[in-house]
Amino acid sequence: MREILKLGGKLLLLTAVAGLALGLTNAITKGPIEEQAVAAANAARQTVLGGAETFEQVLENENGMDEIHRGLDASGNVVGYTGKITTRGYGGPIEVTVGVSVDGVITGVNVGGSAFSETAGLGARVKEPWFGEQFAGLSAPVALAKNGGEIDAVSSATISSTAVTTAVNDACAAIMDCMEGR
Amino acid sequence: MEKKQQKLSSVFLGGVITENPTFRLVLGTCPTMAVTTSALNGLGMGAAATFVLIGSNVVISLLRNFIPDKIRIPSFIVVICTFVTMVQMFMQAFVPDLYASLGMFIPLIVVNCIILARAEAFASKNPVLPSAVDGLGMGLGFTLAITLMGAIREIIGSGTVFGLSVFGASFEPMLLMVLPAGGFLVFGLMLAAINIITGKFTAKKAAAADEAEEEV
Amino acid sequence: MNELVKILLFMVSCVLTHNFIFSRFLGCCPFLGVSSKVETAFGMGMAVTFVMALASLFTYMVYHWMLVPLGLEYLSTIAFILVIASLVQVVEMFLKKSAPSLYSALGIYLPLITTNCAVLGVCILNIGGSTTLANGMVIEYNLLYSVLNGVFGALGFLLAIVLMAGVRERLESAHIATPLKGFSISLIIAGLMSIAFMGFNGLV
Repeated sequence: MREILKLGGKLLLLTAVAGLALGLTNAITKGPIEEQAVAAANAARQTVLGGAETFEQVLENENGMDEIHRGLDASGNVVGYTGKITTRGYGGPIEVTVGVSVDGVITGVNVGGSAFSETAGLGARVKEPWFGEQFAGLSAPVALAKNGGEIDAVSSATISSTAVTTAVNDACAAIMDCMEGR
Repeated sequence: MEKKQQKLSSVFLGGVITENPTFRLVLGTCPTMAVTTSALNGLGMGAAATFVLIGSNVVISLLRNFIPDKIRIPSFIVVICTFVTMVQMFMQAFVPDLYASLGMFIPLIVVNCIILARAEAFASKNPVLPSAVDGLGMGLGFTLAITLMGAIREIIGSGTVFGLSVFGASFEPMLLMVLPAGGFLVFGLMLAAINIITGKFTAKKAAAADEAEEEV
Repeated sequence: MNELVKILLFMVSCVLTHNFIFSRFLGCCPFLGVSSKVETAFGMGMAVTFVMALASLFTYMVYHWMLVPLGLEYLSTIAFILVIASLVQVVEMFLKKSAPSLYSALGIYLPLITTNCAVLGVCILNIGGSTTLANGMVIEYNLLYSVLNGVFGALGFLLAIVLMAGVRERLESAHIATPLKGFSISLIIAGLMSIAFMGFNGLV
């Protein structure tokens, strides 16, 4: 009995030290992790709506969107909107950021997200620039080439390609609502 | 002192070459095949695993007289897991892109047999310094092996290495290589290649020994 | 009815298209190490199924009912591995006492399961959220589907390891070039099997 207590006590001590060490690490890294997420979201907005200098948030967690931002140029004129939406791909969530100019044309699409887990070499290729660039200059609704649209799917990755395309359409619709609401 | 130095270097080289965890001991096969879709992923995974190996080896070696034999496995796992979670958080904070592409295989370093095997076979029986060197050697051996494998798969499967184009735009990549099937095939063929090389080496050694005998 | 169809589709997806070995690379160590005989491979597969089902259930509860309310998600890996390790111990002791025949069949594989990455892998996948089948059906990993993911995933592992053992038993009497002997030929066979399993892609 005493031996069991001794063993248990030692294991408990070890686990407690481990927990303490992890809590400490968490305290150190929590800030940078959040900053990274903010920086990534900023960078995504910048790439999809190149003309904008600053962004101001219009809505958050509404209408199926994670967030919508209004992009302003240097002199404060509205040049367009960006919307971030989370969709479900083959392996898990995919974050899609869409930029739309004031006249309703898609200016860019950025695919990624911290939990992005599509198959390497297949679904993960929707993250490659060429896939997102196909959307630029088009207006919603867009569709994959196999459904008579303009977007070439990543070969052998229909689920991921469809997920992104649908997300772009949903985001555009939400941004349009947002613009008309003004 | 001289003797000790030599011992450390042989511990180190043992991990990198003669007892290479991936090619000679065939341990830790899951991450070896799963994350090696590119050379950079291999390098990142190797670095993460090396850090964990050194850390866990040092701590386990320090605690080797404190941890009773009966609960050594759970204790080792707790130590390893602590380091893995630390690596996970630091990578998420400072190299988010790499963290995203390695995905769930970062937490899975916990069950990488290399680390537990070194804790059990080496760190729990040796002082701190050799244990740290062993961790470094094994980690480097693992890193080298999976970076090489990542490079091979990336070159054939995507036509690039570390993201740089090798063959130019006209190259049609062999997609199979970055898919799971390619992982198994490349690993299998690499083991065969290593067997051929070491086979030749030992044959040469044997032949040299024979010759030496004849001369005598 | 609809739910039943969904479960069936999910099962086919777990066993064939998302096979733990051939498409996710989880559990490769026992897959290569314990696959020289069909009988032992089957034993290992059954033991894994048992533990994975229980581990999925317990880690789901630990994560969603303990770690999330306390805001301690970052401790998930250490919590999961401890749950798995103690689960393996408990299962071992339980089987030893109450089902000695089952214990003698599975007993020797049980300690190996703690470091089987398929078990920890399924727990991490379960907290990841969801998967999408080819017909667009979304599977959310709630309690039911987490457990099913464990069971079906393990069945996929069982299928893979038994098939592999079947091939390797025949290889024993075959002539293999010296450099390919051992792990090398097994890996190449696994690669070919993985290509065959790719044929199931798009099935569900």
